[in-house]
Amino acid sequence: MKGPGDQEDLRSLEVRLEAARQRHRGEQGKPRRLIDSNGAAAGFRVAVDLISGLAVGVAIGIVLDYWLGTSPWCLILFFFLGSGAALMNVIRTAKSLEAERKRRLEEGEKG
Amino acid sequence: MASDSNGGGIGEELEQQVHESPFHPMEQFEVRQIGNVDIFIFGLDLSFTNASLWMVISAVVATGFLLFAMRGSAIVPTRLQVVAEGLYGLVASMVRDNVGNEGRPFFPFIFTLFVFILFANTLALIPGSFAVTAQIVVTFLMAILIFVTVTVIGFMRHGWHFFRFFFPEGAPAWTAVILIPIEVVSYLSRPISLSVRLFANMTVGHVLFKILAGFVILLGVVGGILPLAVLVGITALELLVAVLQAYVFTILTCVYLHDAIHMH
Repeated sequence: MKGPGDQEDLRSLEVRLEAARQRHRGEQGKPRRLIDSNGAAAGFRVAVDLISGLAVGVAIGIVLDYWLGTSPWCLILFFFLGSGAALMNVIRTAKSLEAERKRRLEEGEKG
Repeated sequence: MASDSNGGGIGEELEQQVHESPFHPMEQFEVRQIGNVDIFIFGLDLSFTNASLWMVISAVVATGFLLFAMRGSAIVPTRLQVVAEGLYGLVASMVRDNVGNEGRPFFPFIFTLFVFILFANTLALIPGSFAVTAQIVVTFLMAILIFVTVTVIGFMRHGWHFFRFFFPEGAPAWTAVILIPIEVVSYLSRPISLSVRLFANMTVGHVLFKILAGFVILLGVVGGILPLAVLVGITALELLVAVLQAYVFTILTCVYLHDAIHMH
């Protein structure tokens, strides 16, 4: 028998379709599930960011000193620039992790 | 001079130890030539090694898996098809969320990258296999490839305007003297952090395996039960790490791509 049940089914289908379309358009960003699912991974990410910034700075300093014969001034300069870059990296990573956490919290309140 | 030769001595001694003992934790990372066909191109030794073999295996298994899983392309998917479509969906949503619609042309590249690293990482967990992603050369080559590609895309999209990327908007002009070098160094550190993260995670995991397995052998049937139990736990953890690191590598590629396309 056809009745109001059919209408209801159609409507719920419509709602689900719309939700799927929205997801597809990317208007509701799906939460990234894995990235900070454990603290060790986040900690490791930050540590690597810190070290790589400093390492690149020091490497550039040593190479420039070698080329220009200005030892040790470029090393000293780029040590500090590398430290700055390392901090910048860490701040950026921390910000993105924090944004993610917040988004997941909001997502959790809704769902 | 003296310290120099001393350092070399220790290095050689260590190398010899690694060569002699199959139980040395670093022995598993040794790249060995397979067969005796020497391939030299422009003086570079490009002979086929165990690393090459496992990269080929990763690529073949990944391609074979996807082709096999999608062979039916049924509307009601089989179990394997769900897995393959899940992988596709995961990367698709990753690209959409992190790069936006402009990221679509790069989806094949990012999907290939993710699947290759995922299979290389997980295949490395099979006893007796070779951990390709625990070789810094491999991860660094992938990272530098991504770095160069992304930088080229940035310049193609924005021309010389891309240099604005190195100066944060709204900062006072005089801070440029400090901020621009810092930003440049930070930008240059990207391929290092990207490659070292994957490499270090995989290396640490596999060294841990080897050491714990060594304990099991040393302590015998009774005493070896505890390290064996730990080893089982670590294996589960390493499976998580393998998947997670493939994911992190890919998501950071997306983030860098986003930066190049949208500039913040």
